[in-house]
Amino acid sequence: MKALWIPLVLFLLVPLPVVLLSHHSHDLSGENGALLSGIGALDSVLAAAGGRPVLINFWATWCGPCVRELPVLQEVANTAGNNAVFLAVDIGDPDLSTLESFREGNPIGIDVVWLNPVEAESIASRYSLADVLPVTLVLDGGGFETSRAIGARNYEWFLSAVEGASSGAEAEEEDGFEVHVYVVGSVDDPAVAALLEASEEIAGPEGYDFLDPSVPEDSIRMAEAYLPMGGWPYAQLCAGGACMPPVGTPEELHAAFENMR
Amino acid sequence: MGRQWTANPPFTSSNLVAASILPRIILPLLALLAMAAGYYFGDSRAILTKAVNICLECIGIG
Amino acid sequence: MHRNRLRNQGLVRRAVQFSALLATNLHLSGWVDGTIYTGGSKAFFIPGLHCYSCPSSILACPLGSLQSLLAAPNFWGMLATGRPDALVVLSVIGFIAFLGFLAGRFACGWICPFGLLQDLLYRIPSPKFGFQDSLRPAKYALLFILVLALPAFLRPVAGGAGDPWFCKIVCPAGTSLAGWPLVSASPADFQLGFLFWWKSSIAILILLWAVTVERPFCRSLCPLGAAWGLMGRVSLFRMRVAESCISCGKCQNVCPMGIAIYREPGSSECIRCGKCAAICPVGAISHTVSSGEKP
Repeated sequence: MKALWIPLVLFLLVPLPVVLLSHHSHDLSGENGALLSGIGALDSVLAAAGGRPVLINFWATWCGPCVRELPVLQEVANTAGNNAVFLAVDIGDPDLSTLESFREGNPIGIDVVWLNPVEAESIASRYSLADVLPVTLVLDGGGFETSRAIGARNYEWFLSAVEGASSGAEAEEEDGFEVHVYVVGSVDDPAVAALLEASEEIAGPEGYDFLDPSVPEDSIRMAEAYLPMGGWPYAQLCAGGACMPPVGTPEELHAAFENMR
Repeated sequence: MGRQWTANPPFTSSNLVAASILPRIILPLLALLAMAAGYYFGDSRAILTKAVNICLECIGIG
Repeated sequence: MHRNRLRNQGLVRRAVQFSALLATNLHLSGWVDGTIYTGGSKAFFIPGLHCYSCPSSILACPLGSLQSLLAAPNFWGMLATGRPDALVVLSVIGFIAFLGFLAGRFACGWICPFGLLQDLLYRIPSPKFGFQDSLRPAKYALLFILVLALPAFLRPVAGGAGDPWFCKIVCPAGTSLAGWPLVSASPADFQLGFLFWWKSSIAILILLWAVTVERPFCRSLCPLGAAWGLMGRVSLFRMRVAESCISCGKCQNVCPMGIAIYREPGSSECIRCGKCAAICPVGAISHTVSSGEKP
């Protein structure tokens, strides 16, 4: 039996082309990146950045603008390659299972870190985050914040923010402030009526939508807007590409509106 | 006739160095010096950072 | 009489192996709560193959550290300009070389936790088999390809980082003593893909192999042992076979690495465990630093 070491080594090298090829196909196919959880995992990834800029995107599955910008983030990540680290931190979903189901239907290519409500609060205070999502932070190679975006941004903004972090320049933010409220609930629920009234005060007669989950058409619209399927009646306030967490009473809605300004 | 494999692959013979004790003292000392130099001139945080964070490649995830 | 010597020597060695295991794995709570040790001792290395992501490990794996340093973005450029986070590679290389030039594969036989694991697995009653010597060179291939060349030179993305390829696609110590405990402690946190299942299968096969063959991983696959073995050919401490040898072959029978030490006292496979010295009926074999012997 001669030179058995050769087939043995070749066998062990099988994952090499598999891993290298999947690096490329990740760009093309809709595959999920890693799913981690906990502040420890978040800090691990930050520490592993090793002098590269880091883009941290805080989001939640119920935040439409957040979800819509995830593919944009992935494109930016593809462009930047290994020169920067991209992370989507879910700080708005109390249950990991919500996130897991979400990823099954909507693959997210960049790595995702889920934080439970306690950890999310801690991270929110570490980075001084308000209640609104999405928030994107760009940190430079030394871990210092060079840009912050409240609300969704486009490909050009993200790319220049990351490249700016590499070179030390700051990126500009976009402005825009159209208020929109989604009210979700049953049509004959007095709580809904109160929310609708508050919505009209805040956003004007054209600025809100009422959706009844029991109506198929509305339910489809809810899915398209990434609104939570449970927990109604609620109202979700969005403005300028960012959204607040859903709230249950008119008082909370007014407070959310004040926070947003 | 096929090649006979012994416990040692062919390229591992070293009759020359084994004869004298001097290189066998110098080599470990040189290595010790290299290790010290690595810690003194090098930044051991590069090792520490990798070692204290969960290595996703090591456990088969990343 | 010689059996007693062998047994006592074996007890001493086993005691040293277990002490080393304990001393290098003081963070036992990590196995319960799925965390790893984050203290400063992890800037230093364990004399053996033991993943730094093992929950209890308080030291860093020399192979893992070597690969991750070589794989740093622009490692060669940084080394050329004398940057400290590249220069530190000297501490890993120096560590490995120090042990290797001092006593060859001594740490394999007395300290390495994965070696101990294979020793213990072999004690499980089962049919026992021999070993195909033509497998032994595989470890040199793994050392040069997966530990050195690919991490140092392969960059899938230009300007980016390389990968620790031995850790990433092979290492059974990392899979079994780091991957499995961490994943079982927090099953929801990790998404398990192809690599996890591939490496787990390889690890299971190696562990099963170790039940039927003595130290099969050490013999055929360990890149660290391969490096130490090469250095052991010129190490300060070595094995000596005196002229009183009667070529009875008992040393080869007890050798965990399956070597005929009486024919090849300077073998690069020898883990210096001393079983041969204990069993030799004429006391011809010994640990020594003296030179001038036929290799």
